[in-house]
Amino acid sequence: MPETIHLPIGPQHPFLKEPAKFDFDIQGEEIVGARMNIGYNHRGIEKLCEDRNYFQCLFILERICGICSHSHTTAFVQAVEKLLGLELPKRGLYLRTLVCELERLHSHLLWLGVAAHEVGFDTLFKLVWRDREIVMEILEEISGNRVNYAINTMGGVRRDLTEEQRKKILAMLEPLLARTEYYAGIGTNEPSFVGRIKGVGRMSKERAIEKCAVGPFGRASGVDMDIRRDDPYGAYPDLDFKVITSDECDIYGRVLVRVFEIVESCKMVKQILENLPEGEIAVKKVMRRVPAGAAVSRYEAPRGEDVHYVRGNGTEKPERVKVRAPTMANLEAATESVVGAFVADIPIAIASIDPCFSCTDRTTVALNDRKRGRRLTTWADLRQHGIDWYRKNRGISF
Amino acid sequence: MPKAGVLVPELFRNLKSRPVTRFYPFEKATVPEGFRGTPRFTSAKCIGCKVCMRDCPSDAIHIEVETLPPTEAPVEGQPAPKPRKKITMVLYLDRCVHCERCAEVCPKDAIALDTEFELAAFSRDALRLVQE
Amino acid sequence: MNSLKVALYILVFPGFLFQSGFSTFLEWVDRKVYARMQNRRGPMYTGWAGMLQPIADIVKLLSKEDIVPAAADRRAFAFMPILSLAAVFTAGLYLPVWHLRSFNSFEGDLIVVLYLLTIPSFSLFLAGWFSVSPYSLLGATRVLTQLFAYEVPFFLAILTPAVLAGSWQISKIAIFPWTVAGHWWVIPIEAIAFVVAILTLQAKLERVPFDIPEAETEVVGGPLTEYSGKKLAIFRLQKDILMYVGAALVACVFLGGFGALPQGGDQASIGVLGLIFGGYLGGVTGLLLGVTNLVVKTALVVFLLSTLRAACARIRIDQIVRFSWRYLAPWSVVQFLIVLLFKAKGAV
Repeated sequence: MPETIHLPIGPQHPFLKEPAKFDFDIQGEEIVGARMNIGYNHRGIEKLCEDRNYFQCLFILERICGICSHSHTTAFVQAVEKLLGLELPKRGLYLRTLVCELERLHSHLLWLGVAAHEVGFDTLFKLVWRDREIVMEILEEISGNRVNYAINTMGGVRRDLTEEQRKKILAMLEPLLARTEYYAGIGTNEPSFVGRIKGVGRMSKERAIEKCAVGPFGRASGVDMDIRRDDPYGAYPDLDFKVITSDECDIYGRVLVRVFEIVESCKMVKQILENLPEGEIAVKKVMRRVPAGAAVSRYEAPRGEDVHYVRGNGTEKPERVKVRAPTMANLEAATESVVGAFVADIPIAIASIDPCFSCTDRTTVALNDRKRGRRLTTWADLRQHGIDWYRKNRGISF
Repeated sequence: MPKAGVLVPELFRNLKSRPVTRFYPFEKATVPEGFRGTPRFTSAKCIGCKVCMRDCPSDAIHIEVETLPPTEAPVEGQPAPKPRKKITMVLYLDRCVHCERCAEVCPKDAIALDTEFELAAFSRDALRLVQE
Repeated sequence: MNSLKVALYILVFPGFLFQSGFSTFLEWVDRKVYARMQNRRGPMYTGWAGMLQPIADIVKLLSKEDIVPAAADRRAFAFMPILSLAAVFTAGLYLPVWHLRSFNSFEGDLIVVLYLLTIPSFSLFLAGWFSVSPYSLLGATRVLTQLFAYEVPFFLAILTPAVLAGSWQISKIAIFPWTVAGHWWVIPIEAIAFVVAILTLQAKLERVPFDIPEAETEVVGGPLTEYSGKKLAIFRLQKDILMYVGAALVACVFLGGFGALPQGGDQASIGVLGLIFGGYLGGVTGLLLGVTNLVVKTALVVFLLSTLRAACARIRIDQIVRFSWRYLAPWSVVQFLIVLLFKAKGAV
């Protein structure tokens, strides 16, 4: 019986792009136990937002993460626009969605490169990132910066697209589609690469639903959920696109889902640019004081479902901003999918959820205050509460 | 069915073609026109409303309004002109996130962002930019 | 006078200084080719076209702080890099860079070289073992597992041309294609062995796709995780010299050694490096021919190794064992049979 060694990975490790702690129990090369611990990236962003006005919050929330920065601003801005009751002009919505899809493109290409790097396939890493530069240059052209685009504002977008820029972007996008299909060919055919990702990191559909997997991680296990189709926002009601799912349930499936999502995003960007309506880009006069109320906004970030909750109290500063990033939902599932695999599979299995620990780290304070009647609620109770509420108030039965 | 060596033709093609990486810093990096670089301040247009200071997300702008000593009346017996104000902007480059909010809210367009992005310095004092 | 000559052979040429310098040149070739295949530039700044970059890296490492883990055995920890460097450098002394017969070549020096080349793998294992950290232990066991996988095909592949040439002396194997009957066509016969040798050499050098012991994203540095400063510099130098020795060995044994003339060459007219100590008959042309051969043939082998490195992902330890015993070992045995058939028919 081989003895069990404890292998700590993190907070610093070459495979982790951001600090996080994993503890594995290994016997030889096989993993028999896995635990994870996060919190190394906590910067107190939700607390910072309580002390700044809504416009400042926009730029603070943008810097939760560099890769999905637009996701966080859009989710926040949508929540605040709900509170303000703003009706956006069509052109503004289209431009916002354009940057959403471009961000998805750059994020998935980044992921493909990083996944290749985690299995030692540095050539694919460099080649994919070379082609990702096309997207970065487009974003720099539109918004003035390669990351942290700062293009959102309450009521629309801050920068307009000239006709010449529009044509330039359409031209720049052409080679990207061909290269993505080439990478799909490589990802599915190179035997050393396929050997590392097929059959690794298995997560069955039932287990994925139980563990609340979202985004491409869930879709690769057959969970057909995409906020762009199920709870549309922005210009998505007008766009024609497919939601990519796969039945492979392993890392190979996740690669396929993301690569085909790149193709879909390219098509969506083309649709947006070709049907860009004329008009204003933002609502003219926006109140700085947001009326009291609470709003929840969901957004399909490149990694999955991003939820923002904003509560206003009639002043210029929000009372509470809460962010639930998609990696938070996927992390437990990922840690579990590694048990039973080899040590060599740890980097690629954890990287396959596209982890963004910067997005994930928020603090939760549990209050067990008997005097004021607050207590800890379990997952099952919460779910039952939701079911009862909807049955009573909306007449919907689950 | 996986095919071995599927990447090799591209590798040999890349051997012949020009590299895509730039030999920075010996070859300069180009940025497009609307790039968000450093805020530049035009004192003459500023009215001292301090909206930029209020809305900066990282507290990087400091507007100092200095009333200059009163000058003599140009002609005898006429009332002296109102004392002029000198407005200085202190920009902390290590806090600025280049979001362009200051330029956006300024009612008199006194701030504009240029394309200067190579802002590294050896001391924090060098990053305290005083613009008059 | 003789001992001075020997000292110069060992320390300067084809000894330590030459091996260090030339192997860093080969590392530069590897890095440039790898970079160009990925549309990048590679080392650019240090020296002409970055040629001094590998030396700069080693010099930089020499100046860094040397940290030894508290639980490690200090003397064994410090001895491992020296052991591996010594073994690899001694193996390099037997290669016919000098006058086709290295200064002390003898019948059977191929076996000695192969044996000496196993020592670096063992010292890497011991280095990881003495480091006493989970990553080093994982890496160390992987080194040994990989050794079991590639060693047999490597030996078979390298010994095949020896059987063909009927000798265990590297210089005799190297000139065999050029001797009297003009046997240059034995080079294509050994093609399978050449492919197997390149693959197993990549495994011996622990480079992608076989860099499992030192997989950066999995075990941080493998056996070398805890090494830093001068000891790591010595390990790096050892890797470079190992690449040079492996490439030169493959070039000598398969590509006809460092002599360029086809068709019935006279032994003296086969170009080798002549030096001031030489008194070698070939004169200036022989010298130039030998140098060109050395550079071209080893660079060609390194080019093939770099292409392999650029074209593949890193495979897992169980996959390399399976691949090796399922494909490499049988194919090398098949090649061996082909060579035996040729020998039996008396064609060679």
